[in-house]
Amino acid sequence: MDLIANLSLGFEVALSPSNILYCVIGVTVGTFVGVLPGIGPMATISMLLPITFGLDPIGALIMLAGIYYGAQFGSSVTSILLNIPGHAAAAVICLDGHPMAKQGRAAVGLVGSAIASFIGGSLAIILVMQFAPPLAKFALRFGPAEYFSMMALALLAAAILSEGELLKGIGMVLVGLIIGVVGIDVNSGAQRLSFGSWNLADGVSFVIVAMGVFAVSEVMANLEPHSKPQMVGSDFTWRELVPSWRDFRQAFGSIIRGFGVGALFGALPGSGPTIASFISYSVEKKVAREPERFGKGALEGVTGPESANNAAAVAGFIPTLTLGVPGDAIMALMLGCLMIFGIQPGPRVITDNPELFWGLMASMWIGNLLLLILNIPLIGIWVRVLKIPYAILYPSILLFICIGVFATNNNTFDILLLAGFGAAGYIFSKLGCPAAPLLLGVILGPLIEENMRRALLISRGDPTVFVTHPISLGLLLVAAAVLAGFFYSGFRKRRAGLREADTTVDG
Amino acid sequence: MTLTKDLVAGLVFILIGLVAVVEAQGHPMGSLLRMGPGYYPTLVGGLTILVGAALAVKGALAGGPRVPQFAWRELALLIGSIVVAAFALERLGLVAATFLLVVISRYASRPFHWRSTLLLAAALSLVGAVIFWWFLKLPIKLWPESWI
Repeated sequence: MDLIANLSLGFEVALSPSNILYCVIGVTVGTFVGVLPGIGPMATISMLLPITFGLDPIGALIMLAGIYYGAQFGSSVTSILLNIPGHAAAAVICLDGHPMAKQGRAAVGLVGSAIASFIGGSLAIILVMQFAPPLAKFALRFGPAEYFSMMALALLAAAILSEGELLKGIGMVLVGLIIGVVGIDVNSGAQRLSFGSWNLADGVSFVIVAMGVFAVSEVMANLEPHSKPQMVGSDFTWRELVPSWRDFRQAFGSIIRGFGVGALFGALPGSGPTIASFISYSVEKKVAREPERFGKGALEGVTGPESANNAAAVAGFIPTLTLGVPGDAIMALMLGCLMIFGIQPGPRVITDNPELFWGLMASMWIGNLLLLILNIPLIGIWVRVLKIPYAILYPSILLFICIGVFATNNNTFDILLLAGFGAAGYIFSKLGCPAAPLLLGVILGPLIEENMRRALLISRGDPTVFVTHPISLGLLLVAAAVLAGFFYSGFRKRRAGLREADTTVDG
Repeated sequence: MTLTKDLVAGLVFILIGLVAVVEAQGHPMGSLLRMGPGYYPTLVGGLTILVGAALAVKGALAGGPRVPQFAWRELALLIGSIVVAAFALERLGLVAATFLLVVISRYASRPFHWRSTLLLAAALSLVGAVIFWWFLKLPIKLWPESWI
């Protein structure tokens, strides 16, 4: 069978001593840098990119992929222990992972997230190997109208899943879209919302926004005069590292569901791990028997998105390698790396460079296994980070964030932007406005505008194009259903609340 | 009228939307067929104003939780320390930026002790220099240039 032949080719490539070494180095260095608070996968990969330039293309790609999921695990660690997401997708992990740490269940959260990553990633690799050609073909049918509708759905989901009111969530998405406008307009070259500053010509990097509204404003919230510092030390024994049967049962379904969500959204060009983990979180919240546990340390709120995140990260290589369309900023970096090595991404990569595609797939599985083997013993070290007094930790976090932001562009102006977003994030959180929808708006903003303009250009200015294309219409209907479901459940809750109030009055 | 969270958040959204719409008027609008650079920001900014207005009206009429106290002193020190560090990093180098960042930001939380703070700043300067300057080779200088 084809798959067996391809698999053996892949493992032959991936199991060569030098490629295993690159994989080990990538995973270890990626985790190490990724665990440094405020240095996410984006910053980690861009910093370590030059190291790979001396290698052959396959070795470089294998090492970069190792850095990628190592850094991703690292940012899950900081999300759970410090409430600092290194990148957008990890923001979801904070929602329940950090409350778990506060309850002294950090070890369960960390082990759960490592196992969920491993299972989600492994399943996705099998899926990618099996279905790469047909999935790529389906994604090929997507036009700009479909991309637009898909992103509208993702933004709506982000607004709904955020805590707080829908209006505030939507408002934050829109503010994010406005921030996404900043910079040079690709089509006309006009400088928009940059107020004459060349520092803003390239736009506002979502890394800065994320570090500002999540990390800096979290430090700020901890400094409030009457708030106890959120850093909670937790003693744990090796026994606690083993998830209980109840934990396992709780998490297993979410890992499988997360894999489904991740595989689907990762394979679609233009979406990726971020959307997948956001949607997985809302799925988990919807199917849970007690949705009110979410945001207060529900294990499924960590394992589901983590599995989706990793499955999407793996599946994200499909559009990147087969269509040349990166799913997110990290995949864009991978794409740039490929082109540096003279490989033109597109439908011909699988046929022209089978050893690259299948070797990468096999090495991902090895890398995910290494991640699990390396990190479960090291979890004790990550948890010990919590015992450092906050007065020592927060200036250190600030320093790492500042230099991390500086490192993405080597521009001190970005540190000033960070200060601005930190202040804005604090004020927004005081007003009860959630930060996650803002971040998604910033990331998807440029894509949504680009696809809207392209769709309308193709349809000769006819705005009905979004509802006459069947796939686009389907996506919009899903969005409408999600919204309707939200209002329906809210309405029922309010009625139930009223009835309760009535009975209390009567009684 | 009480300052509820919804009212203030709505006003903030309206303000941000207004900035986007007003700035967009400096760019060509174009048509649905060929959108100019001003079209999309006007659309998104307009939506932001609408959502903000709905939120503000709701907050003004229906009430809700009031805006809590802001920790202005801590906010100013924390944000100030980042701004100072940004300028110092370029002009005075990593070590001076680290000391300024640590001392100013640390001053935001009480109790504040000079000795432990300076010790922390020294330690972080060393760690920062090793990781960022020596290992990751970021294009930053350690000391003010005139010293060398």
